[in-house]
Amino acid sequence: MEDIILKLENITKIYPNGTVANKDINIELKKGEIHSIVGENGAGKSTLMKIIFAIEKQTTGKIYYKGEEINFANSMDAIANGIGMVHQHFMLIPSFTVAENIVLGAEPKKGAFIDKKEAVRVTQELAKKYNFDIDVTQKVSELNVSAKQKVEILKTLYRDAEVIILDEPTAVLTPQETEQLFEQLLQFKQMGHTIVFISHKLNEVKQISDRISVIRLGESKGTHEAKDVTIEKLTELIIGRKLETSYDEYRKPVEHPEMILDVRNLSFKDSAGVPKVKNASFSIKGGEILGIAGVQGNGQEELIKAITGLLPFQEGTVKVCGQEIQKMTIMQKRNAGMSYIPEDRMIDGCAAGASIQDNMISTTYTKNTLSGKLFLKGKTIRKTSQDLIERFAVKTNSEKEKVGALSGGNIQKVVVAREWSTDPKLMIAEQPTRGIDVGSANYIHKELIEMRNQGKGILLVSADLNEVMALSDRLIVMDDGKIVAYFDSLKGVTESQLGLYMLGVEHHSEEEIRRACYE
Amino acid sequence: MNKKKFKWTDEGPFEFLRIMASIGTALLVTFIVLCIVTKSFALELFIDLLTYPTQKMLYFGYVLVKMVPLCFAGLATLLYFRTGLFNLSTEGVFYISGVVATWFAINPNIMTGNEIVDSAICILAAGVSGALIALIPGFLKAKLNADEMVISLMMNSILFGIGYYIVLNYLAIGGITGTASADFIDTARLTKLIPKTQVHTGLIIMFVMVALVYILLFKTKLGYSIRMTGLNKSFAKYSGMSAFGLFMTVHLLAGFIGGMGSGVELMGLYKKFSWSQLPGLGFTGALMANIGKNHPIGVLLAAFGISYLRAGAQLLANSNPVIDISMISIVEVILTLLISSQYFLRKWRGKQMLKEEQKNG
Repeated sequence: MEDIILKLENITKIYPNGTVANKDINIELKKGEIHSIVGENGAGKSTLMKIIFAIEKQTTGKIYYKGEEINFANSMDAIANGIGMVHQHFMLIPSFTVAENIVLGAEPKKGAFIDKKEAVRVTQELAKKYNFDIDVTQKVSELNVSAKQKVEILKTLYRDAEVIILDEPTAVLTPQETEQLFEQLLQFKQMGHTIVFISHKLNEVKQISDRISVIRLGESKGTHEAKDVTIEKLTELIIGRKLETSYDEYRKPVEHPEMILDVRNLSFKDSAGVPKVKNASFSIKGGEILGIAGVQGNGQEELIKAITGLLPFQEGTVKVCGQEIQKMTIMQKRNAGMSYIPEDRMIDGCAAGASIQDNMISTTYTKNTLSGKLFLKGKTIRKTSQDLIERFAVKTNSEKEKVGALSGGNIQKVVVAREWSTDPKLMIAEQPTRGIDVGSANYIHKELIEMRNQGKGILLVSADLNEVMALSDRLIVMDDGKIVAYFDSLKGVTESQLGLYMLGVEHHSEEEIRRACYE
Repeated sequence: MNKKKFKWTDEGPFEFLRIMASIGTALLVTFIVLCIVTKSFALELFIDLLTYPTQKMLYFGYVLVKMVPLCFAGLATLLYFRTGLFNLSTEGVFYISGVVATWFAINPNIMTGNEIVDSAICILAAGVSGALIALIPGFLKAKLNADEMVISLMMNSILFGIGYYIVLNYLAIGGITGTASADFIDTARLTKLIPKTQVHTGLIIMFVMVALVYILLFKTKLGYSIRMTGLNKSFAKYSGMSAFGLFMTVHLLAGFIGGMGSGVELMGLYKKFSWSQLPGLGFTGALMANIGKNHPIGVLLAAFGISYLRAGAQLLANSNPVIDISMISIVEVILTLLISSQYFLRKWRGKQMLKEEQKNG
């Protein structure tokens, strides 16, 4: 079996906190193939990759590389042996140039000093060889996301990576950029590199892969030829049951909706004075989901932070149910009917070290149903959190369990359950299903639509185009801090059409965009 | 939600096991040290060390009376730690609150002659002054985000300087400069709880405070926001909790408890104020909070345990010239190290769980 470059044999990994992340996993990677690894969040994909890349050590099991059993001491060792990894979160130094970032750690030297000219020459040659269109003398801080990703990939190629692991590479890309990436991946394949592709987007997985390995609950569910397996079949393998894909039948019309959110001419500058949101205006009525699409980092995050009050904005007005909220504290905004599922559940969305119960009440504990003047009402709180756990199907043994011990999808369910329990008028959902499994994502989507049907207004921001398109009643597209397009219905709108607006190739006229405010 | 079978690898039991193993290891090291120091009769000494405090009521009284300030300091510090603040100002608060308590306790114009009222005045005065002093690092932290550790450490020296100056110049007998204050008025001092020992009613106050801090932390809204802020500040902010108000309140409360501890210690055990250097009790508070896992009951147990070991070591040192009392700090260090270490015994737990998994298929 000469063409097997990397073989995982009975890999089991148990984390110190007792989580069994991988159980007897067997996967073989052929030389020169694109091999996808798919599975729900918490299924153990990331752990497996960390083991290959020697960031984590397997508890039991063997890894064979080019036919020999290997035991890399650390990731440096793995890199030296030709394994490269492009992480989901880029590991680049913004103030360095592209060339400097690529050669970092293995710089061409001239005496004791780094030979910068040589670095530029080598990296230019590398970029040319692999057909990358990139200016290596540019600073990384000036690059957009897709270019940064290219730098990360070049970094691995510079170190002669034969096996390149890409962790969720398309999560941050537009459809057009994804296409471009795929062309490059196919090229690598032809040059004999082995690509390990990790993604939640099954249509992409099916499109790009030669073979697909499925992991569910830490166990391998077989490796399949991509051409022989349908997306439906894959989904079934991943979550262990069938799943519906369209939400249209769940939607119900809402009569006499009131105005829930009205944003006018909102502008936001960050602490360095750089404008991040430019003159944004839109409104949301009850019973509708307004989606915001856009490449990540084009002001969506700042727009949400400004509305929710995590960052103060400088200009414009924001009204929730007629109340101006700019000067309100976060507590007052929440009392005015705002609720918020934050982008990063581990930073803002939960306290990982606290119990599920404690996490369930953080936004409601001051209400007189859950507490008196001084004391918490322990029994009611326990009952409430048990009810929420059941209502939202959080997989756990007890409400006393720590949130940090749950999988990503279940943590997100806790966050959604808590925000739902505040009975809001306005729900702001920021990347509500990012990085979580299909099953949980599906569940959360239905909950959002259910809230919409009850007449609540929902503002949805997501980098996942499929998600925005499946859920939204109306849609705005943001590019470079501005609203560049508005659609009052998503009928007939395609992904690639949206991609053009996201990339700033096209934009709607002022009049069209103004309709986002119901004028 | 089905009931799970009891397993040593579950979080609670495992934590207990870990603490027991830590204590065992610490004692083992102590034994080895004893062997090195004394050679022949080490085992005898080791048993003495562990049993001395229980041999006489007087000895056990040492344990009880010495645990009181440790516990107070631990409670104050755990409030800071729970909020995510690394504030060590309890040391300075202990000193300056003691000075304030002394000012009341030697002042015949204020003391009423009623034992309960007088000691209450002194202890409360110490508490209030502690609370006000603690507001300084509290305000600087809440308003300016100044590092509370640096501020509190510098403040300790400043408070000691000011306090010592006041003692020397204003609280000494008849205006004559001395190294200690005038004697406390008798009614200011706490009464004995157990005859023929030093144990005073401060022990009861301590138990009450442990209960109060427990209730505060786990049963009140304030306690909830303390815990959430300590675990994740961004989450607390996102949820709508106000960090400014919380930081101020926590400093106020922790300062009050620290100050009270100082008042109780002085009025219970001393005849006059004679600390000519920082008493070191405030720093021990951090030790207690750490060993006690930032839990009020844990702090109570830690205070008892450490006090027990210290009393044992002191008694051993009194009876045997070879032994140095400071030997016991080895035990304390090892205990702190192992208990606060995240990794101690983790590997064992992993292996046990692996076995469990394989058994279950």
